[in-house]
Amino acid sequence: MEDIDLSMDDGALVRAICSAADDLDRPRAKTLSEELIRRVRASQDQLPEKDARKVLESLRQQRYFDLMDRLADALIQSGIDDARVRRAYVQALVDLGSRTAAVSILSDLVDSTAADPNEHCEALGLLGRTYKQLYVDARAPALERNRALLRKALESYRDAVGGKPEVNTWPAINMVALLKRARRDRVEIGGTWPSPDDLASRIFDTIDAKEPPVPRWDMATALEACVALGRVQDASDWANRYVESGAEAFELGSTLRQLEEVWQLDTTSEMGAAVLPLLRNGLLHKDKGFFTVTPEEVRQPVESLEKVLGSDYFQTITWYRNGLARAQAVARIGRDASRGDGTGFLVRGRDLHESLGDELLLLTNAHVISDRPEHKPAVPNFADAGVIFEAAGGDGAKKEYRIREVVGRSGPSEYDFALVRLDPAFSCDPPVVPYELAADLPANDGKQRVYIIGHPGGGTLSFSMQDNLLLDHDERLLHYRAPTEGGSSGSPVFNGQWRLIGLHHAGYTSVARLNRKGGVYAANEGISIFAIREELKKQLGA
Amino acid sequence: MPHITFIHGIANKPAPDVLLELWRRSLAREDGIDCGAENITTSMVYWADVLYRDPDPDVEGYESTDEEVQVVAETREVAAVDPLWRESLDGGERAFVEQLADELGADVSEEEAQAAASAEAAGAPPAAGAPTLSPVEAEAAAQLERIPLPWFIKRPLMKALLRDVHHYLFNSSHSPRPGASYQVRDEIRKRTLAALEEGAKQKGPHVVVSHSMGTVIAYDCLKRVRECPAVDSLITLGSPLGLDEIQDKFRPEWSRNDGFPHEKVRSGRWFNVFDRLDPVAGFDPFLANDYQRGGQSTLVDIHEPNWGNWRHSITKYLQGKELRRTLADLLRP
Repeated sequence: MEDIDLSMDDGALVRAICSAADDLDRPRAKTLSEELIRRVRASQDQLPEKDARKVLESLRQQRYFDLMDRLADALIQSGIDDARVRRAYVQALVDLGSRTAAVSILSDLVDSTAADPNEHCEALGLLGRTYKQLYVDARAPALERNRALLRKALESYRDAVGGKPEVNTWPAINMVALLKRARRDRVEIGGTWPSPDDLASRIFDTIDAKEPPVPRWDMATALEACVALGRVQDASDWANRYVESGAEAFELGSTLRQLEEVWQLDTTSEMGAAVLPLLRNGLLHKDKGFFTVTPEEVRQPVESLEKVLGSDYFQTITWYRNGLARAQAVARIGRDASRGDGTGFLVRGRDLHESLGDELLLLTNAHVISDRPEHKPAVPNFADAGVIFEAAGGDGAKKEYRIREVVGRSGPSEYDFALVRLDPAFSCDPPVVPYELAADLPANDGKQRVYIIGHPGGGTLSFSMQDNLLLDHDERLLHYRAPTEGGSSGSPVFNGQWRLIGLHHAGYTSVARLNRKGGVYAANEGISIFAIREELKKQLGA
Repeated sequence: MPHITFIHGIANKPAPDVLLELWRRSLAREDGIDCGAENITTSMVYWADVLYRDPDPDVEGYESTDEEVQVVAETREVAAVDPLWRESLDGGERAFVEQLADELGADVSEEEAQAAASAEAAGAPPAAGAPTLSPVEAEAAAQLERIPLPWFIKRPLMKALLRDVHHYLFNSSHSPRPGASYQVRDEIRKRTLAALEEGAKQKGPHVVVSHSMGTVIAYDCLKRVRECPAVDSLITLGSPLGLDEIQDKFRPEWSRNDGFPHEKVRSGRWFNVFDRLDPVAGFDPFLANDYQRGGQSTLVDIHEPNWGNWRHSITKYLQGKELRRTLADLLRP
């Protein structure tokens, strides 16, 4: 990492952390946060509460929960008693998975904020959210201990609403979501509860009657109320308004997760098809946007979305549709059916070398598949590898291919690719369209984005669509910054028009900058498709 | 890498870098041509400050999905164009302006326009319904009435077009703010040539994409300025180049038989995109017969309707499928 000047004053240090977080520069944010933690612990004076809140909020927005946890802990230890700082600490614990600890701290926070209605409501809401998340993540509604979590979530939200759903709309809509979820999961909650439809109507009418401009969080709440009431067209309209309002990636992402995890929507249902593509499309257009889709959703015929969304919205998500279509040509490569060793994707032979004609071949990294032992491929013998195109339509997803031979390759420290012939040759009905190569790499102006479709964390059943800032490129390498950890080796890298520009091969917390710029930074790295093409010319003849 | 030189049109505009970004975004929107992603360099010939005092600070309005907001943003200052500039004209200049004003219907009233349109709808000549107007004016009035914009926008727009065209073609002296004074055509030509020279340095195809009054500027430079660098192809959007009065001012370089700027448009490809309900281009949208090459029509006119009421909008033209297909083809090495 390039040298950081740690002699700056506290205010400048706070700003530097916020800036590093905003730039998705985790190593820098970490170093600066550690310096701030050191100072907070060593100093008699407290950091001003406004700075404490600001730096924790920046870390929260980028989901740097580990840094947020340690910094909030240090700030509280230093004597800062601000409810928002404590709430931030609990939020970090919740998102890091320490939910039981979070619950007990939150219960204290709820008691201690009794005299401050706003903070009290926020603390109760966060307690509700924590119980909700515990219930959703458990995925076992039959167990009594999980049912108890759902009840506690509802009670916390009810207390946060305080009998005023038109005022406290956010906890109120969460009550609606959980009452409906309880019905779907057949959880007996006991006690007297309002009708979720009545509550949703009241929330919706309140927001709908507001004078513009309607705050963004109200738009998300109105959207959720329409989902609750089954009003597909209205939900679609509010989703569009919400995206057009300039909502940030983390806001859209949070709404999307609520709809997917709590409401259990996906695009195979009419409501899911009406709302999720709009939010996902919006996310992909935002800096640092990402989401996952299931193979079933990718396989849905795209035209079915037009019936649900109507042609206006359908037109506006053309770009998202193109992304989904790309996912159909992505394959999981592995030694057995339960896990993936890497990713690969289809390319038309002649796009990489004329002699290969129209044959569809698979491109992946040499450190995943190779016929050279010195490349140390993850699958030592390529004949053992299975290749499955999970999102291919028709009968495509059921077939497992083997690898017949390696047509071209280059070692991990050079161009890290393997171009392989499948056995049998790839076929699918309806056909999968191979990728179009870009005419050139994107402008190297620090503003371009690249898009990656891969299997997050090596998992097998979802595709991560990620928006990454292109940091730099030279003739061989692309450096980009991802909003999430990891990525899959062998994933395709696309430009903003979904044209292929590279092959993802590694993520580094510290890698040398390109173009003799000196210093190091955190970056994900891909190999330029044009460099691969040139290398193939040497191997297969010009 | 390929390069596009944009030339904007009438009415005031946001600051140059903001305007360029607006055009690029409109072109990229929804599966369009993303210049950054495709490594296409771009520049804008910016000349709004030659005629207007300060850049327009309202940027959001240009991209509003609410058409009323958008049209107000794009035409905000046209109403402020000082009408007295015509008073001081005489001779050939005055005659030009009066003729062009007739052709544009710039001086007709709403009532006269409605009467002319009604007469036309009834099968009579428009002048029959609006006897206060000459036949030319009456026809323009009927056409103007058909444009689905409110009169409080339409008429000032025509008057602004009249002023901008006059000031350019007659190289008028204009002072848009204290301390600044320009010979309008000289200044704009200078900026255009500088931009085209920069574009010429890129290795790929160089395409000029011009809109509205910007098409008059593009044509003038490519046809009538010897020092103008050559480009590969030309696209005109929402162009008033079909108007006889404007064509006459381009003589002797322009003639109907040989008006095509073939010396400076290397590929010989010029595409003109128009919408019939575009108030600036709608009067005489077809250019192919007016800018021939050796007596042959080589320029291609493309009728691509926009949508809504405000059809002159560049953000709409740039989202057109035909326009994008044509431009993508011209940018290919």
